[in-house]
Amino acid sequence: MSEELYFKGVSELSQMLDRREISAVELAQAFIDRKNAVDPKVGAFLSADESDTLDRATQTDKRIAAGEKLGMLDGIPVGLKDVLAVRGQKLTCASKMLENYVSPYTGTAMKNLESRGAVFFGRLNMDEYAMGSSCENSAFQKTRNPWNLECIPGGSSGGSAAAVAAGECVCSLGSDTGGSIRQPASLCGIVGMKPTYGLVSRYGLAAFASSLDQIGPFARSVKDAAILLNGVAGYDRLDSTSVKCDIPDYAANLSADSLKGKKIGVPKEYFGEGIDSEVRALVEKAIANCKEQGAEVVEISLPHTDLAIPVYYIIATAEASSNLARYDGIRYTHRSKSAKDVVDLYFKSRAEGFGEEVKRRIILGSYVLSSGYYDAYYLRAQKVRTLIRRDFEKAFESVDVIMTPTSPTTAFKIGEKTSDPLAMYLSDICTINVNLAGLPGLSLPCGFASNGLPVGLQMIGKAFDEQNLLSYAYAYEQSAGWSGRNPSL
Amino acid sequence: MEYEAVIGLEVHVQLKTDSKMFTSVAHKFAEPPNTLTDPVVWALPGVLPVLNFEAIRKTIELGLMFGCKIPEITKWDRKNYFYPDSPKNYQLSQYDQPLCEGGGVEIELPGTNRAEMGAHRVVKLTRIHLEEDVGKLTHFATDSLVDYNRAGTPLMEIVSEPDMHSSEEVFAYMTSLKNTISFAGISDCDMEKGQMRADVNVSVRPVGETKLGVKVEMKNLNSISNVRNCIDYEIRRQIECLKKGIPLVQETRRWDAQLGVTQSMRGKEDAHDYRYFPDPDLMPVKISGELLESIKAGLCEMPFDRQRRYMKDYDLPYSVTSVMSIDRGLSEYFEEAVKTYSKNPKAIANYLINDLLRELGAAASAEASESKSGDGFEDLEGEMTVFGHSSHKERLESCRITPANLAGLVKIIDDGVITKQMAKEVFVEMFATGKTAEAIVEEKGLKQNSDTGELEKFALEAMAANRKAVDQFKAGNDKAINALIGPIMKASKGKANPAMVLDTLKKLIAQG
Amino acid sequence: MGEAVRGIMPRFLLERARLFCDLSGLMANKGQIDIDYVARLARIELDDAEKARFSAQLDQILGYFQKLSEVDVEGVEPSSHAYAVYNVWRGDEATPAMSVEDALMNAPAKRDNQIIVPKVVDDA
Repeated sequence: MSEELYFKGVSELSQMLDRREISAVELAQAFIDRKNAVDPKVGAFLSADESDTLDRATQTDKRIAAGEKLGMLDGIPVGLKDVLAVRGQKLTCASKMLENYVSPYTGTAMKNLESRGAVFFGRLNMDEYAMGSSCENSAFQKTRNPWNLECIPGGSSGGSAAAVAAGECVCSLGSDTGGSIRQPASLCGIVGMKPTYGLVSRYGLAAFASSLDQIGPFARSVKDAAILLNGVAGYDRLDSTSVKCDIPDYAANLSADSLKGKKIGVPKEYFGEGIDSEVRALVEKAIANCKEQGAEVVEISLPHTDLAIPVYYIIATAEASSNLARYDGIRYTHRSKSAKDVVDLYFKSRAEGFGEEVKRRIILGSYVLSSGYYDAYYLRAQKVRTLIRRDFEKAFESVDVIMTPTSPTTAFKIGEKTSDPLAMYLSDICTINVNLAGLPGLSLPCGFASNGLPVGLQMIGKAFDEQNLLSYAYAYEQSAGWSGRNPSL
Repeated sequence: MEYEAVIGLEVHVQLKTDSKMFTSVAHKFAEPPNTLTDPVVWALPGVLPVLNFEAIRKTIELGLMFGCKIPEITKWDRKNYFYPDSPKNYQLSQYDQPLCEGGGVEIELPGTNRAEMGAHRVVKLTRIHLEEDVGKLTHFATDSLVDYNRAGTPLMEIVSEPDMHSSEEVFAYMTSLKNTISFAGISDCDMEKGQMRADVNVSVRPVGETKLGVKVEMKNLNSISNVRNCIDYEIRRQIECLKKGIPLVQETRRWDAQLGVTQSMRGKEDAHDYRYFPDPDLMPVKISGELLESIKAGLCEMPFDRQRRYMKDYDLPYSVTSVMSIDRGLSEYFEEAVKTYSKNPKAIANYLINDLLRELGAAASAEASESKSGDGFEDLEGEMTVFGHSSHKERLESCRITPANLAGLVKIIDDGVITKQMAKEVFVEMFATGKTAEAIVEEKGLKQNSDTGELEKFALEAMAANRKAVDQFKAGNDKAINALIGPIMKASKGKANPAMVLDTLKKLIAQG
Repeated sequence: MGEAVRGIMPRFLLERARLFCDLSGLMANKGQIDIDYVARLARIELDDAEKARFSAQLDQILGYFQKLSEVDVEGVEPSSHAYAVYNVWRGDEATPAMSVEDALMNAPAKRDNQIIVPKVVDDA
């Protein structure tokens, strides 16, 4: 099997399956082999139930033989961030707390994918409970950036990004609470998208911050991301925050000249000091490319941008402190063996089961909700969140899409920021506002810095306007031609 | 110095719904452990809650019955605390925007005797909110076991103002709650099954003082006698403390039913820092005027209103109405029967309360002699009360005597078709077969004889056989006529209409 | 974009710089956060080193959060959700329960189809 297979897109592989040039089992086996060959270097996979993957592929082959192929995703190996529930599969959240946990049920987005015949392959590494920006907070292993193995892949969905960038799976799912899809996509040189809050059901996504979390796709092209998004999106009565809306065939409707006549908003706050100059230059160049395609570029202001960090870290940690209370040593998690009584069981199980960053955020979140501090922190943060959302609403009255850098820098070295939590929080500075506003955001490659590492362009769209957002990205991608460059491992 | 107690209650009531509050698995009492769960109940990674509309509707319904204000917007909050029976380690509850605000519950205090209506007053409510129940812990010598079947059951918390002053008032309050809620079908309020539990706040203060004293809370009292005994004990204890100059502390105390005392539970410093915040997984609820109107349109009459109506419109005695008006089955049966035959509601009520309930009870206890069901408990007077006892509705629905047929029985007695004595036999037959009274009377030939010709023949025979009695009656001894009636009844094989027999005899004697 | 824009980064970087300067001296400071109390709320046992480290870091982070107090939020509605949607509910229909085997498959300790916990002393 030629190495090129690993970097083929969903539609091409689907056609190969249609033409019987390859069977789904062969395709799955090829990716299993690829994973076994390169993952010792990359470290994207926490586990992989290879026989389950081959079983799923066998089902596809049966369907193909019967002339009942379910669509483009049927037979395509899709990696899953280890925060997504699939019946019978491990779900560790990269935490010792859930080291041996196996999910007895399948979440809605994953059920949607199963019903389209996707072949689940692997449980991908992440920052513990999705808290982090470098994948270094995983309790189990480091994931390395396929473009430079000394660098982080970004986070929290670092394993999902690295696996796709390294050709270990065709595409993958991650989750994005403050940039956890877009930032690693940017640092690994692939496409990553956080859909509008409510487009994809969260039922089956272990919650970090409920009002911000969304499941989204990683892929090596905008079209593949569109196909995968179609595979997971849809209203779900099991998620009360899920929104009923029409979901078009995103991939079929992509248009290479969609930028023509559109207005691109460029928020000045995202281009100030602190953004790496090479990153800024490449993003500005990408925006210039869009202008050449007939788009109008206007400078806009999102005045409450610099409040995003406090608002985000108050809301996200408060929600997390409560969401993670269920990991307590009682019903299905790690249980301390040295506890004296039931209260001690909580203290010790949680002390042993959670890593440092998770503890820090739970403590912070408990504090901002505690008696006497609620109004000053949590309530106020919720109000400023409203202001941040209004900034975007106002901007979108006059522009069609907003473009910014995805990450202020390219991937940093492993270990570089682990001792400085605030510095780490910085990595998501360009992405968290989008979660606070609930809007769709997408990162796609827009070039390489002199250190050889990829740089991402972030496009932010109107709520539930995924189709246009994907189209703008597609137009840029087709014109700039960054996809097709892959790391050599 | 004289002291008075001030008491407020938080009563938890499980709602009678088919599924749990935030997920669609069923809830039921006494099922095998952990057989009524799903991923949401266990709070597995990734699960989310979804509101049960019926629970919201039922809570609004009760709120409207108690005259509460129903705010336009209500929401759910997380109450964060760790406990093994709470799978998420937060309870979904309502903090600052409950479903119902204010309102009041009419209560009746004991009258001078059982036949007399007692004084009525209204206990003020603070709020009613909707939350979820927790699982059940069973304690063993060295460990405890957790069953999550109960976890997630819809639970209303009805919070009263500190507006009661004695255990009698509290008893009356809980009785009124139970009567109203169970009549409306919102809950069976069976305390033995944990469907109704009370947290009690007690403080005492010198009479005349307007400021509240130091509040002591007793949680999770699961029988009415526990509530009563606990309150009485706590009032005595607090007054004694004040008299002896021992300062009271605001605390939670546990009621030890065996020892009959309350005991302090050393409070944890963080016990009350619940870190409430709006649940991001649930959307707030906007209650439209339309929804309110539709619920209002289906509200049932309040038990005390019904009782007053029965007493006024049907002239029923207090003791009968106090049984009938609180039970949906009985009152619906009664009203249905009265609709069929409106001339004698009293007789219908008597048949219903005395004969029919007795037969139903006998049948039920024969059927379920070994299976122990919630049969209530003895209160202090040794009287069986309605707590722990579900409605007669089901029994009445399966009863073979329909309301119309019971009315039919009363009617033929009133019409003189059969005697009250004969009616007893007819009733038993009706209960066993479900046939109408008329059909049974016809079948068994029980119809009273009203054939005047035959009666006159029997009467003349009787008069001829006992001239002495005829003479005595003529001489003014009215009772003497009774000696003539017996033989006539005998001759007619009991079918003679007693009134007609009397009339006929008088007529014939007068004629000479 | 030539003018000096008050971006997201500069102030933040300043705060960060200040953090590094302060961290060393902070251990002695009694911070704003009562770490014992909050760790107790969160039911996480912390050792002394963790307490010192978290106190210092969290005090800095909270200090940074103070900038929120400068914002005029008069009359602004708080956002608990990304969107204001109301009345998401379901009908009262029961669905089958999960099997006891599935329910208990991850249980760290079980007996008689229930979860074993150390004896609970009722502390309400």
